[in-house]
Amino acid sequence: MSPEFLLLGLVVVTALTFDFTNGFRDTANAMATSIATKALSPKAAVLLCAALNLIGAFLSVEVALTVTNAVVNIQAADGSPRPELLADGGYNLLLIVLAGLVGAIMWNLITWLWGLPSSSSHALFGGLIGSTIAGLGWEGVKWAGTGTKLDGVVGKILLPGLISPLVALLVAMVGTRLVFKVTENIALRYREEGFRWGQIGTASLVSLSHGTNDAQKTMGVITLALIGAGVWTDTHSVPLWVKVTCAFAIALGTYLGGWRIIRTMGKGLVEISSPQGMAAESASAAVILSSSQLGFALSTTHVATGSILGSGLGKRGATVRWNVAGRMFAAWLTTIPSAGLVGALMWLVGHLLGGVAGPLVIFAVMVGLAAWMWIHSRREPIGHHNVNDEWTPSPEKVPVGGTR
Amino acid sequence: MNQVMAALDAGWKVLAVGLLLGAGLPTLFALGVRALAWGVAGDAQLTPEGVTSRPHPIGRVIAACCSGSCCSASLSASATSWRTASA
Repeated sequence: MSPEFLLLGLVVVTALTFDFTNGFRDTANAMATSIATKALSPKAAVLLCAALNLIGAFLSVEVALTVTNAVVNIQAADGSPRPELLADGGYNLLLIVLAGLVGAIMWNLITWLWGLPSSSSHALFGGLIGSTIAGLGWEGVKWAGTGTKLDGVVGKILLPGLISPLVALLVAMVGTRLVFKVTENIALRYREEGFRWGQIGTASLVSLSHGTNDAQKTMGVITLALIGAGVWTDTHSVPLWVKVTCAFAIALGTYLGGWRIIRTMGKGLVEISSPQGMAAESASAAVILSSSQLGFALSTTHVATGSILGSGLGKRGATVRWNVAGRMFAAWLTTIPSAGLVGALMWLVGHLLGGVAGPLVIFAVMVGLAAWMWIHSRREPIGHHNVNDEWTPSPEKVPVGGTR
Repeated sequence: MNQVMAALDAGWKVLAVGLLLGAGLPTLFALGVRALAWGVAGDAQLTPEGVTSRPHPIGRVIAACCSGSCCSASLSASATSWRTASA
């Protein structure tokens, strides 16, 4: 077997693994509030969310084919890989992509272990930025767009990353305040039950748009790798098997549910009631959908957490746990550098060993670290049985894992 | 600097749509919930155990209208968004 072919196989498997962790971590974005207020049972929530992610994944491939163009210069404008990277049967390109994906997966898993919601898209871009810097130097990265078109690391990641959670927070805060104003003095059971239905509807919208937004990023990465290896030539479409496997990988991840993150978002940040839950989810849905229409790249996770914090600020007397939020903001800031660092290291390892050994070692390191984190997570498991337990404020005990 | 201006420009548009739909629709829904509870004793008033007070029929109609329009508004908004995104 030629090294390129083996490398292509590893890239596809790793990309699908990333897609799986993407779904796994982001169940919380749509469903944390519905689980916390018992609008849906934990199992029903993950099932609904997975089904809608699966459908959503088939709705659009619009950004898929140029997915990396926002931040790194490894693709031409039409989505085909840059010709200079295609010497050696695409080996250089595939190694950059593989190392970047491993960086992204590692960060996705470690933040899951710590129970911290952070952006999977930022992890993907961070990993790719790191491996690109290692492989091609600083010029390989598109740092800022030119003129008024939002592009590059600044325009597609940093600025939307600052603005979108604030917008979501404001919208959810206003929504929560209005909703409580309107339903003042009505029987509590009507309020709680009525809004549970609204919560299920809005959470479904968020799930669907998550499938649409996120699954296609992996589809784009796999298609890029296939083109790089010369297995696929069409730069206008994604092979059907790629679409189907990506859709199922993200849905399976969603179904298994990152319970640690669901717990932090549903119970840790704000004690949430169903009117707040509905206000938060509809703020998320509105911000995500209007941004994608305006071409404003954003992270579903940042928006969803912004909305949940806003729903806490909008209700008089609600508790917002700023220490939990602070840990989460720290994770947001470190996502790109950390995933990038791992991506760069992996590229170096792969490049130094070269041939068949390089990619195999990177892959083995990823599997080993992932297994270690999984074993670590079993020490204090969080699942559908205890996701809604009272939040104990001692940071040594909850969220689990990172401190021991 | 241009990038910052462009981001702020997109940001306020998202905020405007967000406030209209993201905060407006839950408020409309809340009016529906309120209508549904019309004629039912609030928490402050004591109702004897076992006696369930039934909501006013007009309240139910209003509630159905409110939740129905929320549903259709959010569905058509997302359909528009997906259509333009994939065009």
